[in-house]
Amino acid sequence: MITKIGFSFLFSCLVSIGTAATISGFVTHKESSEPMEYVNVQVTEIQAGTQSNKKGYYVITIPKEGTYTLRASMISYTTLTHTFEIKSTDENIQYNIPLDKAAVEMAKTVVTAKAEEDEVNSPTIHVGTIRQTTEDIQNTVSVAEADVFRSVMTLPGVTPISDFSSGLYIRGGSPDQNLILLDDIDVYNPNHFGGIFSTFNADAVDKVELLKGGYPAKYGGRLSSVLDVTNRQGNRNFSQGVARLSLISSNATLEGPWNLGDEKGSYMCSFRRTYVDLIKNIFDLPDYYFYDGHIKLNWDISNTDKVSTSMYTGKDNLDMDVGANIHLDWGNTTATSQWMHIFSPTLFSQFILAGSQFKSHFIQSSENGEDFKRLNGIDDITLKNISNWKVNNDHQVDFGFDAKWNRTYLIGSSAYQYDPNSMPDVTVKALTTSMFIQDAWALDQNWTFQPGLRFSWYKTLSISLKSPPGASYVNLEPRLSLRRKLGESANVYASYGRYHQYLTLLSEGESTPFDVWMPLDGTLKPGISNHYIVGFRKELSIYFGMDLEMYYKNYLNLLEYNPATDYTWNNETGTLKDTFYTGKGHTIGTDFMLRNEWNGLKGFISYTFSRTQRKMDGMNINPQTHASEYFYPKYDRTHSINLVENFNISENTGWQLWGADFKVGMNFVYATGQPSNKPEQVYFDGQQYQILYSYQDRTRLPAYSRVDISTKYEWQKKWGSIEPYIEAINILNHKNVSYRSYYIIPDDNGGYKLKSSDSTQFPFLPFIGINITW
Amino acid sequence: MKKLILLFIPVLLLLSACSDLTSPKRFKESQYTLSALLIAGTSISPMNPVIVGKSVDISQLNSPDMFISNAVVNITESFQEAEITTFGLVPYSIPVPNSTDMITVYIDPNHHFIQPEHKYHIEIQIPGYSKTIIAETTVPKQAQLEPDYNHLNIPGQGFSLTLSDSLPVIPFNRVNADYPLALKVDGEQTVNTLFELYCLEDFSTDLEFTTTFLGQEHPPASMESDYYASSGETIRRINFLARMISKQADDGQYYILLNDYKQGFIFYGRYMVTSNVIDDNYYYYKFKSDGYLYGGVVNGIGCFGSESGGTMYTKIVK
Repeated sequence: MITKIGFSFLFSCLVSIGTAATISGFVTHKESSEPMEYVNVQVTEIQAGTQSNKKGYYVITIPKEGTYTLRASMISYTTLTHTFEIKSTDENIQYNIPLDKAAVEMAKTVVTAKAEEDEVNSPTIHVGTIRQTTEDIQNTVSVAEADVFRSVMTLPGVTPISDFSSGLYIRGGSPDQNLILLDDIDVYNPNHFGGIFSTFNADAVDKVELLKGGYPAKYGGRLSSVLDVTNRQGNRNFSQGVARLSLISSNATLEGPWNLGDEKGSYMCSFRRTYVDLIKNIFDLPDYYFYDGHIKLNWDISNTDKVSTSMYTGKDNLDMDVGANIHLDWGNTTATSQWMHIFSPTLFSQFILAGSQFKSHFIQSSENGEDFKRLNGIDDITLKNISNWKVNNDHQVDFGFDAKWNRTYLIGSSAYQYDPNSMPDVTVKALTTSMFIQDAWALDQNWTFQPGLRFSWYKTLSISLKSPPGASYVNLEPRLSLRRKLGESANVYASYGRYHQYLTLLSEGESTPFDVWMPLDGTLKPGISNHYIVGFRKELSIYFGMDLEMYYKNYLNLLEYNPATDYTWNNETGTLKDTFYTGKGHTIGTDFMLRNEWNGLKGFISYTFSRTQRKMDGMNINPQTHASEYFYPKYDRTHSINLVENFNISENTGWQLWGADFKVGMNFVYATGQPSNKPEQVYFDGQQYQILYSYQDRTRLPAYSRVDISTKYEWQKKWGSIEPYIEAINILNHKNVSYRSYYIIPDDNGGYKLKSSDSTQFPFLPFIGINITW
Repeated sequence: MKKLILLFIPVLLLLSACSDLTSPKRFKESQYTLSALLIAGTSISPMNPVIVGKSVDISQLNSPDMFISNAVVNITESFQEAEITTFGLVPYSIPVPNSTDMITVYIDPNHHFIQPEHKYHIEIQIPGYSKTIIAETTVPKQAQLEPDYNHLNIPGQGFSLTLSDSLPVIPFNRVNADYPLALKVDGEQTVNTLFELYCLEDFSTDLEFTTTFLGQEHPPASMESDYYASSGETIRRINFLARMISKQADDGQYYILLNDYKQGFIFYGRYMVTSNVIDDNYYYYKFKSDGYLYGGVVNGIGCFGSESGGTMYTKIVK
């Protein structure tokens, strides 16, 4: 059967080569000339269509001469049609498509075309994928200012563990199982402020694509999901800017065109800094600040060659006196250079050379000097290629390679008389290479089959410890998806994917700058996960659309940091395995999302059911048998409901407040309480009462719920706009418990009693700020 | 659309039935417990007894069932694989700390002194319990407290080896430089160490933090329960637990030294400071979560550990 399919594919490829004309080009925003992805482009006469790729490129093959109509459409944009003529089958027509945002009144009409324009009929199968634009991120109510991760956390299937952590727990996966990319390079610790903010400045971001599972063959190296963040290229038509001032930070973004010779390009730069440190003396706050900056330059050498380079750098800095002086700083730096080349209209390639670095320093000092120092970091240099070959209108083949060099280190030193053998001093270098191929194959008008295969080879290059053996692992990762259209407005699909992970994270549960990435040595096997997904997508009406996905994931060779080791190894005899619990797990769940864009009310309501269990050797031990038991981890939330809605009152009713456009937004979230342990028994050890705790999931903390609202008032001026805003977090001041601790204290009768205290999350918090654009 | 809704409702109901997913009870019955910390140079006395007990349901916190008074407890002492002696312990009543309740513990009526580097093997038989609780510990090498490591000999300043009404004082800012915690040991060796700072003051909102944080100089009343907590580490009881290596000082002697620890004095006031070299059982008992599973006790839970070092007292002032 496999041989038959192979021959069929090869025959189809051979027949198509050199026998069809093409029309190709780039789809761009008309206003800024920035590329647009996922625009549906069709040649109506032959019912052949495609979607523009990440760089806005599209290509359609046309089998015979004639006059044709090209139609490009996307929700909320004016549909563009273009008539062209094919005079011979070896003709390659180039046609770039500028798409204009639809006016408000027009948009209501445009939405009627939604059913045939959106992903229901896309040529490739998008499993578990949700996209967010800058506008979506800006419209999500967040603490102090818009934040990419906080916006992602409102999506079905994504579980926040705490208001204070931006770790993404996606469909039962932990944050280290997410591949987080910024302009195609990994970002290893994307947090500011201990996790309250993500490193991505929302103004610099063009779009965020979250692939919650079953992701295609071009991605690999993580067990759970992918968050692909793309920075804006910058306006190629005119210069513009935006400045934002919130209670804790300011940021500014500038963008515009630039020319080099006859060829055009664009730039975008964005910078943000907090100013808590400026008021520290008034409120006796710790000396803390963070900053980050994005810059991106693009240059179109020719119509077939474009290059871009982007860079991100960010740093957090904290100094405080807790009796000893504590200094912490941490940050990410990434740099990416991309060369996009069109070998032929049907063969599009991107070559990427990129680097990423995360490092953190912890220094404790006293009047005696530096007492303790801890350095930790990861360096990454990646070379990759992603190519798209449009074999014909029935086959779209993606292929490429990826070579990633990593160096990670964790080095401790101390003036204390610590046993030097127990101070971490580990440096590991590793190389991961991979190749992938995937075909989106339109079997007929209704069926699409998308087989893919990823080959990966991981090898440790050096380990500074004496004992651990090196690792060399080769793995094949099949990815299969099948989709059946159900008319023009619905489809069902099924997907399977197998994934491997060679890097793991030493983390105490919530994302912190102390987290340490570590490539596997020969004592640890690569993590494995299998994703099984079925989905149903339907455009219910011109106003509503729905997505439903059910999934099952299992994990093998899971690794979880053992906090009792306190990041130490025996440098003489230790291996990386000493620091981890190993085990297995599974997740089953359902994500449901009902999208609406109804008379200006834009947003969604979502429901997630999820059940995650893990079993890790050495954790959650049965005291009778000393065997480990399955448990629901802290991020397991059985039910969660999210409601995110925005309404531009002025735009949709004409009513203004003091001459300003008036917009309102709200988020509501409800989630089952997190699993927690609780005291079961007690004994006295001569000094204290010792509490014997239950399994770590014996009970559930109270359910989490929060309502956030925002109002924005936008005054349009000749030179731009001013938009002050007021936001309020947790307006019902609901007490959301993140942790419950227990104490035994003396009671009034000469005995003792058990007492508990709750650590709660954000109370009611109002924020104000102002956005200025020009 | 109707079909869709009709399909979705039962699915939702089905999923709702799976709410509140939790594990079963972990401790289905009481666990027999052994708690003992042998201190080099002392005997097993009412100040430092062996406690044989059992865990009780958390709702029966003040239950006398927590202590077993009819156990048969025997200890065998050996040194370098040679058995030296076996002695029995006898029940003895002492009051629970901060309470008027009396509990039964086990002491050595013949006052055998615990010797450094000797191995002690304990066996406990409890009527009605078919298994024998077994544990053993090897006492660390002798470690001797050095209250005035820098030989400052300032009257009224430093540490005292006894608790009295007029304790010497240490200015908070001179703690690290002038009065490091020091244990003199025999030669270079790698050891488990436990330093504990325990505030002897009663809780009051007049207590003063040694380091203000977020503008707070005094503890709020709500901190009282944290202060008096009789389980785990608290703001009153701060531990430093580490594997350390002794180093030779200018006087030619070898010391375990802790000279940056003032942050452990959360409040100004009187403190009990203990510095000890501890065995592996006690180290894992203190270090690991669920430490009672790693304290070296077979057929029970708890800890049978040993230590060598001592206790000092001081008053931290501005």
